[in-house]
Amino acid sequence: MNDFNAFLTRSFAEAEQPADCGFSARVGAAVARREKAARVRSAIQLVGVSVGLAVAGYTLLGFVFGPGQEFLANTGLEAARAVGEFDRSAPQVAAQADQAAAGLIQSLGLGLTQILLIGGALLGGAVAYRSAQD
Amino acid sequence: MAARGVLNLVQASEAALIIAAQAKDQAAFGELVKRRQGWARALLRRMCAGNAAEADDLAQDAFMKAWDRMGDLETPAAFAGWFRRIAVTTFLMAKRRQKAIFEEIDDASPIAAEDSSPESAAGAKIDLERALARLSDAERLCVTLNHGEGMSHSEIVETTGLPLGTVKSHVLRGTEKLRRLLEAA
Repeated sequence: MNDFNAFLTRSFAEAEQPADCGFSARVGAAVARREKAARVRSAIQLVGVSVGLAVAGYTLLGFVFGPGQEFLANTGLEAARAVGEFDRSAPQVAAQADQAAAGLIQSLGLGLTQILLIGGALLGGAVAYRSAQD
Repeated sequence: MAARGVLNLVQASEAALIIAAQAKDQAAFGELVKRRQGWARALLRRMCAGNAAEADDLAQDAFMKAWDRMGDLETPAAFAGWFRRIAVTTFLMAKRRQKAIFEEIDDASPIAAEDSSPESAAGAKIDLERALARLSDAERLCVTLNHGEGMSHSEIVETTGLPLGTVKSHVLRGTEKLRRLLEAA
């Protein structure tokens, strides 16, 4: 059996190997295609993330300089009204806060649009990133 | 300039080509494929029982995986073993997709049946490749890695994920079958 094992090992070593016949060229072409596709995916990913960040930044800025200010003001008034409810010594502030409460709902509605835009941009960016990874 | 580059690439050592390929040099990897394709395709053709088309597809897959994972190779000297593992894994994945079961020893055909085959009776010349094709997939894989690639049983276990007892059994049975087939030829 040992003789046969040696014969077998020798037979394997002496066996002919297949000629190239264009195999290396096919692998080279496949590698080139893959690298090109990877570059395209990378560019798409970069554009997707940039657009997502730009939209998110623009929306965030719009929120801060638009309804954000109103929102913060209303929140402050709401806090004052709450304090006034507990402390009956400030009825005027509480009345103003009551009026502002309606405005708060409005500003929240406006803010919701901004939040949805940010969420959509982030989701879009995530989808672009995921597809680029695949 | 390009001709000189090609000349340098052809003259470069395998270690230099591997280091360049790790830096994503496609030309260096192409030269590496040229040098290693014969060995890789012969290995996979044996595993695929001589099915050249399937073996070449698997070899191409294995080289593509190698390209993607070149960064994982720690030293150029380890390339052969590292690539062999990729080739074997590629082959096993393909076979598992085809529902071939490697874990069971029972997939091997009985040794005694080989002597009564028409080829043996007719005294037809059976070379190594044809004899290998008569083994089961698992036997062929283990015998090829053991005798053809010089891997120990434990190295085959590490590469294929098969249990040690199964590997030993496949090598023993496969070798015995080959002995009978080649002696009968």
